[in-house]
Amino acid sequence: MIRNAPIIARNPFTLALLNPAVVSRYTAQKNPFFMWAASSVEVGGAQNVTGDVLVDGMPVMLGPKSSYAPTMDNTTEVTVQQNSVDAEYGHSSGGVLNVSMKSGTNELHGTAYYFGRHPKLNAVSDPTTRVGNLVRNHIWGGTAGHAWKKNRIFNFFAYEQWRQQDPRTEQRRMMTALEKGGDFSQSRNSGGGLRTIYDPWTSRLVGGRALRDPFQGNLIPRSRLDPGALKFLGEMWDPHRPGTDITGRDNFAAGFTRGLRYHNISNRTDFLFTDSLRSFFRFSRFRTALYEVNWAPNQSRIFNNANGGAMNALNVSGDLVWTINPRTVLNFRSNYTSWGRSAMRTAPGRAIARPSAAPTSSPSVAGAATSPRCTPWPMRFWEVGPPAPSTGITPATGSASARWRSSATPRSTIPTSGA
Amino acid sequence: MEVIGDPKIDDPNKWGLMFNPAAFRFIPDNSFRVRTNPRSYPGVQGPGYKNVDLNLAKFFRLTEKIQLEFKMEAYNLMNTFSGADPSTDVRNSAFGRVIRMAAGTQGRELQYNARIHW
Repeated sequence: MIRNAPIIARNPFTLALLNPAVVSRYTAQKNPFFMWAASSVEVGGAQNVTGDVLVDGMPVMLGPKSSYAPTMDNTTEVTVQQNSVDAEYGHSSGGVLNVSMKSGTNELHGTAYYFGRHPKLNAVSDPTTRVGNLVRNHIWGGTAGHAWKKNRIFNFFAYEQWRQQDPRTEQRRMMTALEKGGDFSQSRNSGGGLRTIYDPWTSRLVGGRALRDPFQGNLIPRSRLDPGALKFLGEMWDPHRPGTDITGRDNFAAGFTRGLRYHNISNRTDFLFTDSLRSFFRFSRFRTALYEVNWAPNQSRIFNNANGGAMNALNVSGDLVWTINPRTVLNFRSNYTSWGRSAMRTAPGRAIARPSAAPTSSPSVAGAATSPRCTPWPMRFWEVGPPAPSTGITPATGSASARWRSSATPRSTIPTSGA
Repeated sequence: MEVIGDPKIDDPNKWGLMFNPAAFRFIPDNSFRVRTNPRSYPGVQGPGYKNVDLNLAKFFRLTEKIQLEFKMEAYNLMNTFSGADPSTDVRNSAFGRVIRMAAGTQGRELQYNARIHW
């Protein structure tokens, strides 16, 4: 059933929207490798990013973001609970989403598949800008479930890979040719008045008040322009349209594609020791790299690559269920989950810094590099079968580290080599 | 900004005006003044959201245990424009108009799929 539903993002957590009590708070980022996707829903009235997200019953939320998400072909069930008062559940102000993954069977079953999209089959991506839809993607993968030992040990393997070109648009307010030459006589503020440029060398205290004078004619003399600033200005590209208001807002717009490389791999082994004792162990991870092209028409060296980067997640889990008697079940679950991301890539062939290449020391990184890693170790509940209440205990440890670039480092991208 | 009229219009249009921009006026004087504008205006709201996705699939049995599936998926089949909320910046020339798509929406996209089941 899940396999036949049209799901553009191929993220099983988006199926929660089929529940009328679930309200979307998604941005454009719904794909499984965007860790905000699973938590950006309001469930039963509770705010988004405050619910809990589970994979195989184990929490994968790290702060407001989720981490690992299975592939669609590796998903067997998605459940939504609006108000989970059961002691089994926590970390939530209300909603709980759970995705259950597939297990192997005695017979060999599986799939091999390919998905594709081509720009010629698509309508324009945005009718307000008439930007053509440049989505070009290739998704392929496969699954296989079988028994290592009949009726006792089962295995299920899943793999999926993406190669995608995604359409993007950006708007900027770029300096006009006059402004780059120091002439602000035509520049207006939002109220329609002159955008006055003051001479900092005229600052003085008069009767306890700080005063300064504007440049004559709102013109900055060429001799006052710093050589370093002129080099910087030389890298700034020109606007190509008037802008949406009198200040020239959004006087430059660009349409481009963003490249994406993603793979998701998972393997689950189920052990049926006896009819009353069973267990599974699962290893799952995905790796994602986003490549944003340098869309500046002059291939500017100060291009700020804010949207490229890497997004990775890892989830290792184990589960043991012992049915002591028809009224008492003992269930231990434990999992390790983590995610890491960085924002430091441009298009293939124009990479200016890579996360693996010492991101804290590279001189060519745009913005900040963060690598949070958290490690919850939930050991879950004792459940005494209905109608008795269940109890739960969840010891967890967590750690997070973030490396931020020095504020003295300019937010610019100066290639250190031709790579 | 101050309100000088009724912002509600009878025929809000996602391709045109969603409310009456002439009902508001920019106050160039930036001195402090107590807010008198209401927090919301009855009858003034953003454009709605409509979307239809559709799959068409055909299975071919290759052997007793192996099937081949071809599927065509259409996302936003009717190519409906879902607009974001209109601009609420009184100084913007697009004040009152929808200037971009709602987040997470796109024009019609088709996706083709082949799958072998065993």
